[in-house]
Amino acid sequence: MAVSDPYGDPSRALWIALGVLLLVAVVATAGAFAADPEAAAPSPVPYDDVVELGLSSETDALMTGSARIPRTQVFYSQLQYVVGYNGVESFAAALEDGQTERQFGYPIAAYVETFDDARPETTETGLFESESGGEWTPAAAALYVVESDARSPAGETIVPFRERGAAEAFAADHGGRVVDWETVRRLSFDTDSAATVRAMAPARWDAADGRIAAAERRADRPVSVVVGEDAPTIGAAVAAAPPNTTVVVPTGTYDETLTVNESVTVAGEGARIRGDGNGSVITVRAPDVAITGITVAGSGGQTRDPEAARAGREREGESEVWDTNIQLGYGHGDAGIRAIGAPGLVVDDVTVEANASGILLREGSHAVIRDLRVNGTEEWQDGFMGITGMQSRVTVTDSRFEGGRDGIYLHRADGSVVRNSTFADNRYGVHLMYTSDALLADNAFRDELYAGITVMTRPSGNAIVGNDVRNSSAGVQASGTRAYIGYNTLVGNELGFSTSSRGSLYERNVAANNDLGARATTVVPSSRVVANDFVGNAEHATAGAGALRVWADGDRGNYWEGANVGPHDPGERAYRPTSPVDGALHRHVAAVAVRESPAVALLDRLRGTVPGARSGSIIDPAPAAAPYSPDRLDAALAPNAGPARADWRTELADQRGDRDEDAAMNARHRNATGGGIGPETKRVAAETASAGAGARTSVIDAHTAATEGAADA
Amino acid sequence: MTGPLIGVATVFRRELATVVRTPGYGVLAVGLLAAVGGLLAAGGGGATGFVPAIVDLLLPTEALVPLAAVVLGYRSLLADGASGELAVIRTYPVRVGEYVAGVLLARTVALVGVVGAPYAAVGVGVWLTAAPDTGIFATHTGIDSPLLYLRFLAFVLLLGAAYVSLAAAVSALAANRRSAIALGVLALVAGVLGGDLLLLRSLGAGASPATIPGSLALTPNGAFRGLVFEHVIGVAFAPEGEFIATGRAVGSLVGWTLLGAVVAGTALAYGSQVDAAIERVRSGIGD
Amino acid sequence: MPDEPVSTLSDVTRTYGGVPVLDSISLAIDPGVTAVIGPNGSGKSTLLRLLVGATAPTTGEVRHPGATGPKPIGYLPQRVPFRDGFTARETLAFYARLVGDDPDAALEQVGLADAGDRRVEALSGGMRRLLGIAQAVLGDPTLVALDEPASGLDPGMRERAFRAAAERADRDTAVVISSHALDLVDDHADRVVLLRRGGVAAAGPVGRLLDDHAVDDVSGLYRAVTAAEARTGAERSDEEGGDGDGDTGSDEEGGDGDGDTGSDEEERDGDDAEPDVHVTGVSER
Repeated sequence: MAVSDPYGDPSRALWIALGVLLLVAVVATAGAFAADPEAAAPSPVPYDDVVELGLSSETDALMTGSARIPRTQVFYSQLQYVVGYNGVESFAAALEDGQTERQFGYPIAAYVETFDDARPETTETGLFESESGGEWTPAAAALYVVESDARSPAGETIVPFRERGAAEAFAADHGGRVVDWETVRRLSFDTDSAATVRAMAPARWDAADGRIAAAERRADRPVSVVVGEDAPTIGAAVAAAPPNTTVVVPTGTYDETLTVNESVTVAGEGARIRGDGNGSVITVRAPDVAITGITVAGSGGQTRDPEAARAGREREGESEVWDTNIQLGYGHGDAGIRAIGAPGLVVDDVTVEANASGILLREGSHAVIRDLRVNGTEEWQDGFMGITGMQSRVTVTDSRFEGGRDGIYLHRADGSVVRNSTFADNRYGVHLMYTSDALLADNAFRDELYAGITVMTRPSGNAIVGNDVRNSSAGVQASGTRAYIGYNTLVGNELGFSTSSRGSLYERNVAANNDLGARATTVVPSSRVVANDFVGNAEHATAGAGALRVWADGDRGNYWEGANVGPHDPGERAYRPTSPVDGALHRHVAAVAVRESPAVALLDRLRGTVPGARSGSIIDPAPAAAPYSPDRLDAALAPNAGPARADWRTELADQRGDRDEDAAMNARHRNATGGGIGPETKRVAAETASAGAGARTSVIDAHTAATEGAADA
Repeated sequence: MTGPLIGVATVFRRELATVVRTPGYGVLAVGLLAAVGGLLAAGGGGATGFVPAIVDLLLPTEALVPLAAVVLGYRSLLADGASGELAVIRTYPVRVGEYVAGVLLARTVALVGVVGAPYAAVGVGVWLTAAPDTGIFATHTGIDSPLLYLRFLAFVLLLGAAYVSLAAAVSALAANRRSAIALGVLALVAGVLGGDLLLLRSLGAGASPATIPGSLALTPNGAFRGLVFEHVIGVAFAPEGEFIATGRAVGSLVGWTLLGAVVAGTALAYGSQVDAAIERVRSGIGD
Repeated sequence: MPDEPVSTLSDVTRTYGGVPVLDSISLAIDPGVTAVIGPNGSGKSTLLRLLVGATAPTTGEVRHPGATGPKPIGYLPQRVPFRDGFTARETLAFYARLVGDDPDAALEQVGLADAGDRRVEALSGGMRRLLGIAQAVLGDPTLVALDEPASGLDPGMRERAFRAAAERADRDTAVVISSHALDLVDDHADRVVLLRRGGVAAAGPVGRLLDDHAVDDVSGLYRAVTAAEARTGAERSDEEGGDGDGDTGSDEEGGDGDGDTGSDEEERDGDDAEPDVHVTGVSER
């Protein structure tokens, strides 16, 4: 056209084409400005597809019954993923928190689950429940019942309705008042977040001290029977001993298997009990039994019992519990010491040469275990757990677990404490499933095949503090919600730690000389990663799929070796461990020159903007000038040094109460609960109440009912 | 077509044909595409959506687009004057205004090709490739939308048009090619940095920050940046907020464009008279 | 209106850098062919530029009482300025569109019909010049000013160019040609304006001037007048810096564009050596 003859008269078709093109351009441009990008509110999606934040829906209380947490799904302006909140209050608190808007933008649409036709009720324990799921209603159009007696595992919960009539009917039955969305947004919410978990960690330690002291007192009983003198076998002695007395087992090897059906103390004096290679060596079926000063060997080698699992399924029929398979399978293998429905068990100064589990606890066999040594099988496939705890809260201290499958495997064992113990050559050192509110502290892990500490499923409120993991595949891999992972020292592992837990706090960890210091895993960032030290790792940190992670708390970032190399003040320049240039700073000085290129500087400039819409990387806007934990760093890097110790209890006790962060990681209504440990206790109560539906053992019910009563009082 | 239109149209077509036949401008467009695409690839913003892509492009755009525009414009009016062809053209019934309008229109259309096309291509690229990292979860686009990129493109072209026009004014004032380059670079630096430095200085001298939305709009780059923040990136933040006075900013960009055109036209129309007047003065002094 | 001149220059002075190139010139351009002759630097190009409005006079006035129509003036600069990248036909088409004329007829007229599809930069200097003439006469202007239309052309082409220009001249149309080709001036010019050092040394119908100076042809006239001027003006030129004047004027003539003085020098040297054929300066543009 114009090229061939710039002055010829163009054909009619060309004129029309040009005109149309121009018209399209004008209309499109005008349209771009006229159209409101916010106008088109997306429709709700199936809740299974959202990225969940807020309370965990995989806590025992929720998974075992019909209880629900009213759910919310939110479409944020900068985030490609639909965010789901368990609990309307979680969402409302998230809106209050500035962090959310910085990360994800503002909500362009939000839907709450309304329960008009779902027959909303409360369980016996006050948890909110409904016969069916609710319907999705725009948050602004819904009505909310607040201050009713409906509760979530974390406290009072807000119940949304579509119609005023339904809301008022619910309020009539359950108390509370009906308010609109604006009012809900104005309500204040107390935090029950990872920071709360951090504040509670020293308390859990103290609680463990209390349990251990109580266990000592419990075990200290007058001697009634001495094996060899008063009875031929330990079994006979135990059968003969009156309750609340001690059976003394003198030095020697005893070839027998026995069952303890009375609340007695079996006190060995260096005695060795050797089973016949079938079944468990010692079976405890009574509360408050103590076993001390013995070595146990010769259990059967069966790690699981498929027979029991099958029978259990048939027995439970319709009401099959969601994890029956694992409970029955894992809970019915052979062990050195097996406790069934035996709360108050005390194991002290005991060695188990384990063919399957060292100690197996199930059905509420809450136990205090001190100075236990479990020598497991050489190959983890041959053996089982050092301690298998099913629905049994354990308190473990000063113990040692070598070989075998997992050092400690806990399943639905809320509130357990594992501390001051040593793990080596296991598959996992400590492995938690569906176990919330636990404390794993000051343990040392060496040469673990898969990981030092792993938390699977989505429990909440676990504290993993002050552990030292070296030469393992991974240091700490904890999923769940509002976990506190702090003061851990992770050296020479393939992976230091992963940030798999949502709404959690990762601070004061030292990741040194790992192949990879840390890995960001959750798709939607909701955790705080701050004040960690990264030194000598081949890679400091990498990120999986998802939005940009900002690893800092305001102007407080992490210490990254290499971040401050180059001509700028320490902390002045954002550090992106996932960028090929920044990531190489601590390994090759030449990277500094590349980093100073205008192109890199240009791209670095606005990188932190619209973080929610960026993918797959990590930025620390304020890298620290010096390590946060220099002493532990020295200990980590020193050759042949023992486990690094952090004085976290003092430091956390000092901070307690004077921090107001993590406001929105999790929340509940301020009026709902008074103290810190309340929800924990209630959760145990709720769990056992619903588990008790099968009326398996009256002992547990009685025991926990007492606990519940005490907590409520 | 009536008289003035045919003049404008004819000059326009000649100018457009010139641009089309100059391979250098094609190279410029390809270079721009490489630069913009490369920045986006390195920045990673384009992998997720338009808004992060625009965030990555905003700063480089402020330098690249004026540069491309000045390259397009710095010789546009000088060429005919320098060769003497302008004197010939002016013997024809074409007024200076029509001539300048024709040239500027053609150069602006060329800008759409040289600058608009690479940016549009990059936008299409983002459209085709931007996707969430994982498909496990339900996703939505947030407020991210091609419309926002279209807005950005419109602002880019407005900014470019202002610089084309200013560069044309420079070319009309310049005596020869060397001084046109020098003046063009000067205009570029003044435009890209000067306005903001003045604003900084005025703030440093105690001007109220409340004046920023107004004064930012005065320079082409400030107006462009403000508009992008206000109507493109800012949309992802909060529903309201004022980064810049929109009317004023658009007015400023259009104003700079018109100013350039008027200066160019005046320079061409009255250049010989001014020249003669200067000679009169010199002769007077000489006598 | 045959009685009225097409254009008039009244007391026109043009200075460059304060130095007069044309000094107090008054002329009337009547219909017919007017040849502007004179040595290099005498101000021929400046006179033509003033005439077409490409240069404004420092003092004095240029008027075009008889120049009418949509395109009253046609102009061929000394250096043919056409833009590279276009064919001869496209170049003419651009101008033709502006006045609604036919570019092909114009090409035909100057004998470039066969070269219409060649790019301007590929044309020889002479062909460019013919193209320039075709351009200048597009739209039927009343005043046609051709600055050295014959330079760079072979003898046949020179003749053709001059004849094409002379044919334009009629009762209403004036053609002003500056040229060193004095033989062609002899053949075609109705009137002659002889410039010398920025002033009009002689002006009038060819026949009268030849009679006045008792010479046979324009060459004779040229020699007679420049020699006389040289004698009488020797004193003055010494006072004013003599050759400097000429240099300044020459610079101006070549200084339309980039001030590409190198080619100016060449052009001038060529003029001196062989006034009728000087191709180098032109074709290098």
